[in-house]
Amino acid sequence: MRKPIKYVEKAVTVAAKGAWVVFDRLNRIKPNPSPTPKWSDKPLLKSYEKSKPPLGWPRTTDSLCPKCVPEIRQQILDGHLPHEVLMNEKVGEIKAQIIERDGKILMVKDCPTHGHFEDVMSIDPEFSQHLEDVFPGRDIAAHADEKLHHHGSSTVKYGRGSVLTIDLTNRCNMMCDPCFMDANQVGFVHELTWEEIKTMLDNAITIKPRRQMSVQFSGGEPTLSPYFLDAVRYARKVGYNSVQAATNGIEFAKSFEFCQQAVEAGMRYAYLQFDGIGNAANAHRMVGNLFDVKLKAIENLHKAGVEIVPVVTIVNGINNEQVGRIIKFALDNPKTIGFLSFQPVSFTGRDEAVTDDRRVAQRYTLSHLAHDVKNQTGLGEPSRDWFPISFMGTFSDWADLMHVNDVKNDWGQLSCGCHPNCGTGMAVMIDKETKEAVPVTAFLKGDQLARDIAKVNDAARGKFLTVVGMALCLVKNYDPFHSPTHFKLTDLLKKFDKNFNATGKNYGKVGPDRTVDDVMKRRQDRWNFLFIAGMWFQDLFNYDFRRTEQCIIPYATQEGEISFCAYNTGVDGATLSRRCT
Amino acid sequence: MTATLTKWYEEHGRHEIFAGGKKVQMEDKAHSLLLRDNIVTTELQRDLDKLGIAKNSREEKTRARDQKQKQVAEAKGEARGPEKNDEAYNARMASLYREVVLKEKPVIAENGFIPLGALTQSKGNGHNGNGTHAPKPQVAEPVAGD
Repeated sequence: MRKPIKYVEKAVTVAAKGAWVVFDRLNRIKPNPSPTPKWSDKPLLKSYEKSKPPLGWPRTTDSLCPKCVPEIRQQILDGHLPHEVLMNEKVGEIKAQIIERDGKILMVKDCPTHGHFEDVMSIDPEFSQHLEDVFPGRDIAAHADEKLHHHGSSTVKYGRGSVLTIDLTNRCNMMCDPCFMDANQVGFVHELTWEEIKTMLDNAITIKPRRQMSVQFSGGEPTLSPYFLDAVRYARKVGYNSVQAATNGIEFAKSFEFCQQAVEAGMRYAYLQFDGIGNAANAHRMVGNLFDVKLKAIENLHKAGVEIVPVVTIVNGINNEQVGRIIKFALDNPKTIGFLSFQPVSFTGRDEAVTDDRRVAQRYTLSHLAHDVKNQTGLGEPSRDWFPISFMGTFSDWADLMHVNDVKNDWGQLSCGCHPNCGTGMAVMIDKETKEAVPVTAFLKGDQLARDIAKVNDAARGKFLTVVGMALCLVKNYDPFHSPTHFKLTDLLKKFDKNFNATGKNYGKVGPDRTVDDVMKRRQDRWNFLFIAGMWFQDLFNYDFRRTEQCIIPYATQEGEISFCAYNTGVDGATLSRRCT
Repeated sequence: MTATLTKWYEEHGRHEIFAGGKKVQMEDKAHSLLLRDNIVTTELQRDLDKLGIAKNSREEKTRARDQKQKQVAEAKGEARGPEKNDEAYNARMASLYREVVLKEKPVIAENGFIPLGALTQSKGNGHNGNGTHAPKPQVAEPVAGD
């Protein structure tokens, strides 16, 4: 038996569909040219102006030979090759084909020296096709970036990215396997000085489009750096709203006072290493009580005012059975966990020399994740409820347009313009009181919503019509009969307003002047928008330069900003970067 | 590179590393999270063990080393590498142990006789816990019927 309000809402959605027809017709008449915001020297892109890499299959792309790359890297380290070859030549590069065979998507490639390589990209072509179909396109081309983006074939070319990672130190207080940092095993310490940290953050805001990013301090274990708190504080000071630490949580579990100091400095998110539920599920990390540590870290951080993002490295056959348990844990604790990040294993760093047997057995892709979530929790349909991370770009475009004439519009919205093979996600709306959970796209038609919003964006009207257009899009694509029992249409509109600040209502500030009271105010919302994300970092077996060139999670280094995968995997990787700078 | 690991340790000292089963000391384990028993894992996922596939690079290195040793042994014409319940291997290891650890000289027959000196007890080297104790007094074992 549905609540009466659901029937009223159904009537409203029908009316909105009618209103949309009129609005859309009128809105198409003489669209305005795209404005140029203060934070970019180039105009906002209309949906049809956005570029896309070659997609679909079969297709050819530029990749790397898994055997040539370590050899070349060693030659550079041994002084037999100058490191400039990385910028001027295509060392280690070979062509690769992305094909469909036996119901799987594969990358196959041949090196004239080392022979044939192939690896699985997806176990569900329909799922992968869906992700590529709804990819909205790349961000505005990066500009004013010549000093920071100069890495030959690995150069980041599009947009500003959404997460800027800074490795404060390669020291760590754990000895994990896998570890793509190879922390504690390389025989040297690479630790940034305070001046270097400041320079990287100062440089970061020179690139245009100047977008809000999550500045992520990483490592090694970033809390081991003597400058950790100062770095967090300085990132906030230069204007970044979201500062996070990629941490194993040990220091935060040991001391609540340390958590409070981090919050006071401006830390907003803990990107918390989290492999599974129970000490047995964490045993491969070789810490006796690691799960107890995680729980205590979550407790301390949340209480202090830090939001928690459990980050799960998923390895097939090692901990893929944990996917469902971790999601259930998040569903059980909706007031504490608002985001889950699954990271399918990348055979790099300590695992670069993986044997073929192990690689085949442990390979885990985004398609594995979507299916494991469905099979282990019953949540979501892979080809309906999962979208590329870049899908949010359309919403960011809308917010960019809406705020373009704001007085204090010095920053563009956080936007993910990554390749559809890089990341995927499913949003679940959870009632914090009853813990009822429903995928958002079960009651909000995602594909159609994005197409409708793109039309609003393309017309480039003023703020009022842009907001009205969005409201109509949301209402017309909303299905009250499939939303959570107590969820109302107004809750949906409020959620969007809270995220994009359309009406100016104060839901709790997120800017540099944010206080603990603001954090607590934002948490009062009854609805948790749990985002289950999968971010698949490349290794040498599936490397694709079309992905690195639109990387949204660059590393800031003394040698400029480098794509995440180029840094951790590519020939110009972290070992070279850290050892040579 | 800021410093080699050795130099860093000299200047800054070592930081604590939690590995090999070491536990993190916390003030307490209390938390307010809901943790249902039916989602807590009590056993390791063993899929790869069942398939005989290494789980990580450490295991792969160990296996590769063992394989290499086996190949070297075979190339030298030695019968076999280490295998469980392999008497020949165990005997060879026992001989090596006596020679290297206990410092016993190999017994070499002279003119068909074993010299008396070769039958003395090991003196031990004092470093490995063996051979440093006073000789155990011989105590008569009780015999049923005494």
